[in-house]
Amino acid sequence: MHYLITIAILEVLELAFSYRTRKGLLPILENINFKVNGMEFVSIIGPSGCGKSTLLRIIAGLEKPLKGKVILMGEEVREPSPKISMIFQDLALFPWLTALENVELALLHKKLPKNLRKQIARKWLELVGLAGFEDYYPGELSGGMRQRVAIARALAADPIVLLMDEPFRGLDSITAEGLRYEIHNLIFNEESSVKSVVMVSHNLEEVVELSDRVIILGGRPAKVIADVRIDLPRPRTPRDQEFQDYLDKLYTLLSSSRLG
Amino acid sequence: MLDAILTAFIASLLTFARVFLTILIAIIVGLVLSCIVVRSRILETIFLTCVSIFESIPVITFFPVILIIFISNLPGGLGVELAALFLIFTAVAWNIWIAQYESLKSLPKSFEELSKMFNLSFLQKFIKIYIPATIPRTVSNVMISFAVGLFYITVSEVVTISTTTYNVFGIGSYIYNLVVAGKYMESILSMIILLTLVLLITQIFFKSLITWSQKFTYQHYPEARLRRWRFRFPRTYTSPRMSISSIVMNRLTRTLSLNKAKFRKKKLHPHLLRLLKISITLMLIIVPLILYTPYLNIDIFLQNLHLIINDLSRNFIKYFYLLLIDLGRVSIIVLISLVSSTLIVYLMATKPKVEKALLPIIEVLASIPVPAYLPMIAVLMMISLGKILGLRLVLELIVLTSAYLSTAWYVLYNMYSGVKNLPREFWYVCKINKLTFYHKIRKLLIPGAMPAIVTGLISTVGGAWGGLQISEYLIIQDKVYSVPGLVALLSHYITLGDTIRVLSASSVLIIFVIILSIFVWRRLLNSTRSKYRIESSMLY
Repeated sequence: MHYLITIAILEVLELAFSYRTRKGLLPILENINFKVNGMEFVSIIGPSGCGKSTLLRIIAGLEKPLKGKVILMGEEVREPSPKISMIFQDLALFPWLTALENVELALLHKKLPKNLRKQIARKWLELVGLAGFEDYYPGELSGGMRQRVAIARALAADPIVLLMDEPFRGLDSITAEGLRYEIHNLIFNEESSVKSVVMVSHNLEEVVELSDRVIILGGRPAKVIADVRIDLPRPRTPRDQEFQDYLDKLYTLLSSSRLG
Repeated sequence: MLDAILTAFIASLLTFARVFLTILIAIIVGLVLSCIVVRSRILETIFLTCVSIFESIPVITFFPVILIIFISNLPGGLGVELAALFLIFTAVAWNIWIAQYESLKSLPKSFEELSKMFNLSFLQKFIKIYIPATIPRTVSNVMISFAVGLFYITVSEVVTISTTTYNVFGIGSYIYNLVVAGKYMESILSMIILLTLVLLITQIFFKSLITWSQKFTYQHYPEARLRRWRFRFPRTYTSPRMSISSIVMNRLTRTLSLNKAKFRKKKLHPHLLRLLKISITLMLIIVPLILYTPYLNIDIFLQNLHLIINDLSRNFIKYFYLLLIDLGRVSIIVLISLVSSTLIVYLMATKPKVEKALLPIIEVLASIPVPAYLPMIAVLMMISLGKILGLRLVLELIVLTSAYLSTAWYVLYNMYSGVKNLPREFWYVCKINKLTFYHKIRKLLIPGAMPAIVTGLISTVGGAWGGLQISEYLIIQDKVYSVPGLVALLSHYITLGDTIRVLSASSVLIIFVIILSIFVWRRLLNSTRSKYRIESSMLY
């Protein structure tokens, strides 16, 4: 085991959440506790519909939990803020804004002069490898490029925590593989303010490739049933036996979570 | 008092019956037409062109002419009754027809193939497939048609030509006569009765009708992602004009879109298409004239034509000047509607509590025809503000208020539905990045709802003209209150029974309104729409 001196960037404490339905409250999440440390990439996996995305929205402050709280660097998260930025499942790029303008959205709150704002946005597009595509509309870009715009926008907000909701879902496997290969460096780039990442995913290979830790949710309402540390050197490749072992372990845990 | 209540009740029922009758006719005719039209490329183009021309012209501008034609050719009461019905028909039909056409058009091919496999006859297909397929969208459009129809029927129930006042008995004429006679108590009572009945119909009858119609909905494509949040307005309820424009838009995108080749096979040649459209437009003008000639004494016609041209040459400047004043009013109304709708929609989109409280209020307010309560508002405003502002200004205020109340709903509905259709993640992005009120409106709300806003604009302009029609020339207790404006002048000539001048002033109005709607509005709308729709359509 590693014993590093680590500070918790993000803490999720005693979290519970229920949907209001016609038949009363339907509990979704119950007693969720975990910490995310600095420079840590944490993935959340679990059966479909178990509340992973909801958990992510609660962390972002977009949804209020029924019980418990989310703490960012010692302060409770009460409302959404650029400090916790998010890449959405369908990216949520505004189709009527260009790539550059989409990135600028994340900078508006800083009230910078227009030129500086454009300059910073341009820098981020360059960092994600989209130099020259500033004036293209999302509809004119390929899936992988749109993904990069979304990453640039999320990072431009100078977040402490980056949340990703199935970020590679809409991509073909080759594009996804290429982007996965780059993303760790992109996020923990020296320009980036990101200290921790929380990702929700269905794809176990991508989870093992990217994560330092995997949190497995299961049961109804969902609880944390396992917390697995992935101790593999980067870059990781699925061809390694150890990689496969981790994959098997997660499969087993996930299958048992369905029963539980 | 009991008498008045009973009369108001019966009058309301009669008015509703008229509206429903025209809607029923529109539904039947539309069903047959759209069944025929979807089978042929050429007929389809003719159909769409006609409908899009008719729907972009404010019907109300034709009313004086239609009235004169009907009344001079048919015995008194019948002429007015038919003119009223005709007017309602032109107000309620187009959105229903387009809804039916689109429902059939978007019917999956597999249905047609299935019916071939089972050897269904046309009648069987009609009953088992076509009618059910059109039900959901027809029903939701009936709601709008009902509101629009009610608006116009209350306008058209009372017509004064020279010394004769033609009354079609109905709630519009009943309230009007009560106000004219100064019986305010009874008129308020009648309004309350009308309001209650409208409420009952919209909230109970239509709501259950819509619930019933939902079972005929066929999901053509997975839309669940956008439909996660509850909708109060059924999807199509809000977009009577949107449908038409979306078709026009589809044609536009087809010519512009990158995968053009995919569509080219199915399309008519563009020159042929344009030729067809122009000839249809001409036919629309010529055919009614030809049909009308047998009833016409040529000598009198030429004599009248001469008189009209004479009058036009003498008074054209005056007509044009008054037209400009009315145009100014319409522009102001449209502008105010846009601004107020933006603010209201913003509040509703960002604050669920406001949305919950406002929606039913808006639904109810929008479904009460303005003409029914306008006289009341006018009297109240004159009494309360008359001394402070002066009569002239108060009258102007009344006109603007009435036009606003007649038309603001279109923008509001369209904008609201446009905004509600935005993925909720877009709002999340704004929240996370702490966008200000100004930025949320500029970056998200306005561009996001843009296609819906511009499609709502056509209806808004039409509605604004209707609003002017009912308020520029008020007769209250034998006194005429009017503001300068072409619409007011027309009402004045109708009251005088001056047919020649009605026709010549109408022609100025009609020609300019047609020119405006075809050449200015439509162009403006198409260009704006292409900017916003294409980009958004490509993303998903």
